[in-house]
Amino acid sequence: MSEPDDPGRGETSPGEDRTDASPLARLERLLSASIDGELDPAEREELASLVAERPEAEARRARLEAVDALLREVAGDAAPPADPEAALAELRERVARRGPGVPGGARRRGPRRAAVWAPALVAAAAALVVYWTRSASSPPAPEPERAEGGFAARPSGAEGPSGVALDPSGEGADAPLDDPLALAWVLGIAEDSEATQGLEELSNEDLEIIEQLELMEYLAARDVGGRG
Amino acid sequence: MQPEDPDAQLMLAFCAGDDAALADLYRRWSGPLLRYLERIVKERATAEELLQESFLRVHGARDRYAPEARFSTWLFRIGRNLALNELDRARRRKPHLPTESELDGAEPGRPALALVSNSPSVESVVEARRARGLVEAELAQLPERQRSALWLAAVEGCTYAEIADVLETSTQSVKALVHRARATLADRVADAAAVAAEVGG
Repeated sequence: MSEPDDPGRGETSPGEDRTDASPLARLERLLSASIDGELDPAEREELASLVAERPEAEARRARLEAVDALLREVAGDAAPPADPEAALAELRERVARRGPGVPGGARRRGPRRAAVWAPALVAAAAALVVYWTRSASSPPAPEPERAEGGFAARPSGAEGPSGVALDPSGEGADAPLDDPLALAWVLGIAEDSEATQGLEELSNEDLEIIEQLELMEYLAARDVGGRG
Repeated sequence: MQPEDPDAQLMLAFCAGDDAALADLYRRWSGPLLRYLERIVKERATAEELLQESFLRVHGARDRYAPEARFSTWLFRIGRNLALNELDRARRRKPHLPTESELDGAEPGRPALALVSNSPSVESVVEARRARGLVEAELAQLPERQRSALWLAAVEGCTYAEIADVLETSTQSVKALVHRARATLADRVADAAAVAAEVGG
């Protein structure tokens, strides 16, 4: 997801300009940082000097602080989790269902699911290969899945399960079903799909659609990686 | 390592086999995380599901948790990333939904910077409940990163460094994000208060 103030992690966007366009803007930013207790000594001195020049700055500070007070009231009004103990029980049940040490079940793998879904996946893959090979233009690359709080993100783009490009030759001509590694990756994607975590609530049709979308993502990424 | 962080200690206890420690963490942090997730996805039911998913991730990290930041910072980052992934998925399911970028594009330009406008103060004009509703609605219109940064600073009391950790950006960027969000809300709420005063008067 891209947004004007979100060019990517660790980058600074126009919305996060580090320079202040005017002394007034500088004063505003210092006022805001002072509310959060984030001024260093030099900035505190600078703010004091600016405020001395502009007495109306105190009124502005009060208005900015009022926003924070209102937000805290909003937070205070927010309903807490309905029943933490019941939610905890549900959490324990889901952990038990997913198995220990599996983050959110996102890497859940099992012969049962593979056995059930492999034929459908192969059929879906075959259909998509036809689509892929006939497609004249490269589809857009999928957006990368975000890492979840320091966990490794699911590999995406043109990378394979180990982060190695599936098609380092750049030819991109092999159909996925001819490539055992690619097929394994395709199956892995379906198994890894976070969208399939609510397996119990989804119909077979839903699952098929989800898995086809995942396959399409893979093929699109591979296509872009191979041709790009 | 954050040895002074009692929550990190609880997490370490959980990693060492104390299941009750996770329950303590849940009781302590499910509320703050839920209300933060609600700010991102704007749907209570989705936020509740993401809350559970976040703690499932926490549980899943049992064998490899290393307290490099405050537990709450780590938890908020997990929740936020799950929430953003959920928004991405929702957008893929319904391509007609506006992206954050498009929403941002619709954001009216901020009024010319003025330290004090002629509008009366929020408190003097708008009753408290209305003002809360107003600021909540305006908060929801902000770009996600501004919304997150201000919420974490103003409500959760996070430092800029902690927010930078959650948003995976620099403290300088956080400083700008918080400032822009706060100033925008101050202006919009004040403008609305002025309109309300005119209508009411």
